Amino acid sequence: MNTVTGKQFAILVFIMTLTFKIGRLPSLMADKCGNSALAAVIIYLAVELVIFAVVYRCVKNRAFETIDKHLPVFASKALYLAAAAYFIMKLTLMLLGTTLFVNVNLSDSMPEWEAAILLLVPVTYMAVKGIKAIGRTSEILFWPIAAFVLFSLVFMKTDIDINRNLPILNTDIKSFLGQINNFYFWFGDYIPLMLLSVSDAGKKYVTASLAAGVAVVLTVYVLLNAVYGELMSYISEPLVKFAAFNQFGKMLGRLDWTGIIAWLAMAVIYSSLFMWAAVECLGRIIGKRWPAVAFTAGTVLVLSLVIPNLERLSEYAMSGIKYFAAFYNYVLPFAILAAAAAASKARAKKESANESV
Amino acid sequence: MNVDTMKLSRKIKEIFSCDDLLEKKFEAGGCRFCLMYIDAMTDKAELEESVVEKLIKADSFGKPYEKSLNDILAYSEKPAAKQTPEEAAQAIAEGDIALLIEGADAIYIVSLRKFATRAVTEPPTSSILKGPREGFIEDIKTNVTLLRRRLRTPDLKIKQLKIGRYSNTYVYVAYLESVADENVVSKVTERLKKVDIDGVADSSYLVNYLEERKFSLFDQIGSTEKPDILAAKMLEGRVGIIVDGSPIALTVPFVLFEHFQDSYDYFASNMRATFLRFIRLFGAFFTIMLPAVYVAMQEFHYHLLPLRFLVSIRNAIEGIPFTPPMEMLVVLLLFEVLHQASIRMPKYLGTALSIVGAIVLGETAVSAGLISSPSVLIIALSAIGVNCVPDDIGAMSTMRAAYLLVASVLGLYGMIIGAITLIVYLATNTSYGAPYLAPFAPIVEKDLKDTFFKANLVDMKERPYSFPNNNRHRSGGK
Repeated sequence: MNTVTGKQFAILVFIMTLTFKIGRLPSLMADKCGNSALAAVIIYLAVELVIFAVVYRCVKNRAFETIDKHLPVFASKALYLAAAAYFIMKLTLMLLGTTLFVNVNLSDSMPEWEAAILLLVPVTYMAVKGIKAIGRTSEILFWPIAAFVLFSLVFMKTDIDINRNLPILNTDIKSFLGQINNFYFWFGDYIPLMLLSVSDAGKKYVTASLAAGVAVVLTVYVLLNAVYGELMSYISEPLVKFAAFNQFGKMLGRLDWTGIIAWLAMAVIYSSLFMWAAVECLGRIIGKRWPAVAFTAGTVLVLSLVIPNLERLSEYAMSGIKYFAAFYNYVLPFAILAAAAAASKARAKKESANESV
Repeated sequence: MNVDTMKLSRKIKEIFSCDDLLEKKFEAGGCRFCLMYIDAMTDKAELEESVVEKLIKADSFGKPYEKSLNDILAYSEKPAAKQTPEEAAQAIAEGDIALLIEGADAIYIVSLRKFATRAVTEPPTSSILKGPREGFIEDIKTNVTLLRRRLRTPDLKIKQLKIGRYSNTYVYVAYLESVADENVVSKVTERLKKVDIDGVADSSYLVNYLEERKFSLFDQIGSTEKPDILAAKMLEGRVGIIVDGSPIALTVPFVLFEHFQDSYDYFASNMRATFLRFIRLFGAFFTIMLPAVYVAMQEFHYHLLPLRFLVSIRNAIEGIPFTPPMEMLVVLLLFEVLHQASIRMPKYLGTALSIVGAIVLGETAVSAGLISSPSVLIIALSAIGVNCVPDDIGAMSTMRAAYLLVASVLGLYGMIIGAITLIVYLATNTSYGAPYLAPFAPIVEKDLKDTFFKANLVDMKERPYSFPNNNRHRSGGK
């Protein structure tokens, strides 16, 4: 149950590493941190890798299964409730971000509510079908995603000045720390993976995919800075921009659609994983799956429709609510690991008690 | 039972009440005989030579009649014995001969069937440049012979079933015992045994009973008209279902990629096979997506087209009274009508209709400014592409229309959403334990040798891991 193969897990790790870190985030980081955006993303990624190690440990130890079986019910339900709330909140924000992406890049005549509802269709469908569907879909979509990303980066043709990335840190540490204290919502993407178990070892794939994902993120930031310099704060969706500057553009026309398709596919998989995780957690609380699906999809839809101005979404995510995200990103994984350890101890105690009887 | 030939023959005539039931009465060896059979289903010459003449010329004929028949008749099968006139009538309806012997304790059935069947030829739907050209025909015994000639092993098992209350159609479930998974075999057999139907006109009737997901647009059961393909699939661990009266054999499990494989791939070089498989993929992609992409680009995303291409299209659609989606739908509809007409029309009208289709639709409609030439070109390309994967025409044509509607309303965004939803749907399908998108999702590395990049047969040492089978070793070892 909730089992994916090693390769599927690796692909999900790649997609989670990449997706929303190369959407609006680079421009927001450049706006807040100036030329130190690269340093900011390096620090965040370093912390993210530590969190991933915790998440992976939870996956290998089947933390949630252990919690389910051996932790007191109220404790496990409290954990699930906390996790579900975070997943729904993050899903809403990321879904809205995707809707904004669609409106900007694909269709400015489509009402936002229509774009949001359409996006919810595959996301909900995948979440309902379960983790096997998400894993297998990501295996199919990985190839065009990887091909488009590589195609965009390898055949990019524009003026590049790598020296624009230097100095990496052009402000004092205190100011820098104040500047980077804004982007928690765009990280902590591995947390839903804690609900999975992996059927085979696949460790080498996970390491490779993590490395590849981090490499692509860093490459995008370096290239963005190298191409746009101080204008980086005005540039969002770098993948689409890079795809537009393509050597084959004269022959084939504007190729930003390659970036659009790649990013949209990643966003759907990302969102469906969060929705699935929310449904799993809520389902374990109430004991039934379909009400959890209805509640999650309904909540996300209502929230999507009531938020009046998508453009202010980023400001909202960087407001006081960011600390909520920080808590979840950096405390929840450790809390679950600790809970699983406690549950394992409880199991061991019970087993030794049974043996002595 | 005590056979009274007069009464029994009358009874059987009553059951049939039809004029093609023939009756021959004669006496021989002190016994009264009555033969009853259907005209045109029996080899009369053989009947005279092997049965009637032998009985008449027999020195003696007495009880036990079964032994006497065994000894006298020049007939390789042991005559079956039926206890009721209804059973005898059923046997006659299947083409056998009922032999009534006065005073016998059973009605004996002799099988000397001779139906008119067509010759074994290349199937019209599976043409090939290189390789075997034999195809199945409607006679199940011939089909099994064609299969047995390719799998000359006692390991080839055939389970016989009779399905259809009125048709009593013979259905054979064929598999290699040491290769096929017994759970798949038993699942197939159980499902077929549960079929309760009036008659089975073709193997496709059984598809609905065998498939695991109702109302699916995509095939869940494989089919082939060629014995070499059936044998090759059975060697990989699949189970074959052969139906009397149908030239199409079914195979399970089935994965989507089988539509992109062809027997020619295994007779040509690996590079050529790889190239052709990619061509089929592109053909399928163009079939489904090209009309939709064209409409989406015109309606919503013309800024994505190269400038010269855009100018060209704009000039071509100048003055066309329809909007791009409407125009494409009209051309698609006209094409589908033409397609149906070309399949169903009498052959001698073929040339005339081709001319009408080409000139009226292609030339005149464009000249009259009702439709544009790019639309005709797009639909023509799409129509040609569909034949790259001929077994999946139904699904691809439907998807083409669906994507066209989606693109007309929602543009590229709708198409991407639709494509992802479709992939999710396909990824969750299974066929008798095989994931439908295997070996791509889940990735089965060992089976990737026989996907788009085709490896050498020498390197394909193991049977596919994508679906269950008993024995993975194809070459070397057990």
